Amino acid sequence: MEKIALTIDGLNIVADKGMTVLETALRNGIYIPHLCYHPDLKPSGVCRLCLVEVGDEQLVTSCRMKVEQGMVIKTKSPEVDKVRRAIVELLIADHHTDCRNCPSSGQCELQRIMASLHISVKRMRPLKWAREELPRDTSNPFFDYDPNKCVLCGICVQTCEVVQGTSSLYFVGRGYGTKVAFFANKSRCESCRQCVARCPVGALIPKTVR
Amino acid sequence: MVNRQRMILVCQGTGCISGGAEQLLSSLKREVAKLNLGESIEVKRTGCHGFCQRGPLVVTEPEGFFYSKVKPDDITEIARSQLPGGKPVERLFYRDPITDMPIPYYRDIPFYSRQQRTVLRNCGNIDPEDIEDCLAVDGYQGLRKALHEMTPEQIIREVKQSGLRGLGGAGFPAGRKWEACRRAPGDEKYVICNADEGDPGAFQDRSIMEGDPHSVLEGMITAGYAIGAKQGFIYVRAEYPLAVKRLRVAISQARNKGFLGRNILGSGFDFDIEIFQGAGAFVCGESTALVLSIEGKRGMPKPLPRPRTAEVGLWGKPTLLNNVKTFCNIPLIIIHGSEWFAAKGTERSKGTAVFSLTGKVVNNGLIEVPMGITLREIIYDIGGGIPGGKAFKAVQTGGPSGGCVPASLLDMPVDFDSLTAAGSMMGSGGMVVMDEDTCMVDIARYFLNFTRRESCGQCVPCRVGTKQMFDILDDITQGQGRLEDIDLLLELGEAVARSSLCALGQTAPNPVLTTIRYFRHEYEAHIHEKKCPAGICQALSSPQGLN
Amino acid sequence: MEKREERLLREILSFYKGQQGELIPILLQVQANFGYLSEKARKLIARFLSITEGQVYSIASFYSQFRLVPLGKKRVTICRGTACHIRGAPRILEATEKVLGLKEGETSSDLEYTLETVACFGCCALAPCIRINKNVHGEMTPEKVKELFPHLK
Repeated sequence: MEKIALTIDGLNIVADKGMTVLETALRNGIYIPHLCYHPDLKPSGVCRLCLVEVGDEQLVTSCRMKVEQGMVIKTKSPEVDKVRRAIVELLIADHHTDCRNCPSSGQCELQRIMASLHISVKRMRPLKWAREELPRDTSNPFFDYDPNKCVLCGICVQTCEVVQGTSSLYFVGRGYGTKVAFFANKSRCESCRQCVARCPVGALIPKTVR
Repeated sequence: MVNRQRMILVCQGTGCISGGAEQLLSSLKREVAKLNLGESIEVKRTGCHGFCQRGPLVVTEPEGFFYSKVKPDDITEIARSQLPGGKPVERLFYRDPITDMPIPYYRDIPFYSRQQRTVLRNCGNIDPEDIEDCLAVDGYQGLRKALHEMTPEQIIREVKQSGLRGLGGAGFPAGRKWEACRRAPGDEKYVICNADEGDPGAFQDRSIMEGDPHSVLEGMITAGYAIGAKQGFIYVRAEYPLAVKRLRVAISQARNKGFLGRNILGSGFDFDIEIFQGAGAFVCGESTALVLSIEGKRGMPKPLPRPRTAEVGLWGKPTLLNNVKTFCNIPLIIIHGSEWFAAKGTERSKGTAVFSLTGKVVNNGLIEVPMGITLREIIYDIGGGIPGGKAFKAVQTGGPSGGCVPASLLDMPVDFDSLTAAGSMMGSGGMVVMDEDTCMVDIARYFLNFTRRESCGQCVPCRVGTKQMFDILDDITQGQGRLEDIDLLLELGEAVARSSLCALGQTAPNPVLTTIRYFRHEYEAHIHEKKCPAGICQALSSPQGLN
Repeated sequence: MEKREERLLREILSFYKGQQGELIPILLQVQANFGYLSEKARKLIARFLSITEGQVYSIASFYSQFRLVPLGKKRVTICRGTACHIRGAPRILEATEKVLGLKEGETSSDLEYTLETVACFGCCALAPCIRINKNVHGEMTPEKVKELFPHLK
């Protein structure tokens, strides 16, 4: 395997050719916040949290950036922090924050990211909180979907497609109204529950847990 | 086609049709037949003349009399004016809005006399549904020359040397795109014409497709030959039924004449074009989203880093994607040469720019001007200034990706780089004039409402950021603004611009950022004094007590 | 779906090859004939293209042209383009909502009218504009809106 030498946050690192910057960083114990990345899936690059600085202040998603010889990566910088913090705050203002009553509390990626960036709900920017409470989708026999907690990372949609070969989870709608929807016809869902297991937040919850 | 000496041209653009121009055309034909003038006079349908606001428009040739706001009752008189010794219908002449003097001739009307119509050369002059008419004005001569006298490399060199930049918004050098696509490995390649004109307030692509569809086809076929493609697509917005109809007619006529299909003009080159109708998604103007849409998927742009569409595009094949106007320039560059083209415009922005001039301006319509002309010349000389003696406030270019340029920059030259430096952009060519009665906070809110609705929804900053910015702006216009809101908008705007996945999100904050930059006092009046200086925001008091 | 409608739908599909790239043209054509994309129609289209109904729904719901519920006979569309906006489109929308007794996006219970808005239909020089089915009416005022629906007073 061809080796690539690069620098991440001042550390000299050797990676295999073809790896992404995010994989390389995580493997070397450098945490880059991420929500839509999953090691078994194609990186979709939509949560924008893994943005890092490459060379001259250009921001790129590290999940899609392949390592290159001599690359200089900064996973933290005033520029990166500013943008990343804003994205997290936008997500939080748009998300249920009743963590105490959420079954995913403690295993939630969003909580982990908030902690890593020292973001507390009380000291956030004065954003407008989501006013509308969206109804839960309980049509699946095995799990419920809560759009108020969904961050639309797409991991469940892709997982269903990859694991089952054919999918019963889809994105529907557009823009701010986008949701994940379950199409239950002919019980395509094999109740493998991979989607639930991989949900980084508490949007997909098994029916047994209440 | 019979070449008659005299012609009555009746505009059949979408604007004029909405004023009843279809009925005018048929009654005029009947009237001319009734007067037994059918042998000597041709009543002809044309595409858009550009001066839509004065429509329905009728022009008589060879004199060039220009009749505006023509009604069914005027038909008899116009037809009779064509009788030997007939007099022009003076009451239908365009009148100068300031002096009220009638201006009989097309060429003397300031709206037209200051323009430089090259891309729009045939719009309003030829029958868009008759290829013979197009051939009579050198249609397909560029293609003939390209196929018979030039190699693909020579064509690309010519396009590169002309300095033509993509006229869809971003201004990427067209020749470089063509070259990348030519060099990309693979036998199967595609040419796509982006006619998904989605900017609200822009209709130049629509008018060109309605008025001169063959120039678009000719540019695409030439491009196909240059990059080595056999198939082209025109991606047309669903909202443009007339453009689709005219393109269909044009494609079938071009096939019959051997400009499309197998062995075009005996050159051995095969190429065909299909129309693909969009289904209503602004984001599909973005190249990767447009390609996904043709493939039958959700039009969600692909994030960087990724290969360029010129290398990996439709069905994974190298794909050349250019705007309608970019293709229209190609036949001219081939016929007249790159030097002729490069002589127009400025150092870094060559050629002409087509704008849809609308809003609070006396003359609304479609115009074409050399790059580098000033905003003042466009708005005051061509546009005739602001109606009702009101004061100019700003001009918006670039649609939802652009910004509002204030009066202090009226003498700025209009080209790609100057507009970008002012915080706006060339965009696809919308130019909306705003007067003192326009509230700039309301305009920012308006555009964020648009991007919020049109965001594809996949990336967080664009999906949630535009919604958040809209909510803040909405509250400000409702009198609920907070002291910290201006800074908050600036911070969010910067974050959304820097972190969004595609150009839609990256440029979405521009209308907010430019209005804060140039009209901060209006925001402050809304927030601190709970007043809307323009008297637009109904929840707030206006200084004149207009509510 | 009635037999006759199903026959028409199958006839439409017979012009296509059954590739996913044809989905959007098919949806547009089916909608042009039926006014909207019913569940039955989506099912047949999915089967024809060998994709799932979920995929058809997911894609149709992305594009604003597509309607998943029946529309009124008269589609009243208000342009909210920039030129229309600054020349008073919000007041035109308000007036139309009042005349029709409908909010944006709603269809009357007798399926007579649907009120919609559109980002721009490119008639900016005639702003503000309103479209009823295929006819565009330019230079509108709230008073002229009332005249467009004389029987609805």
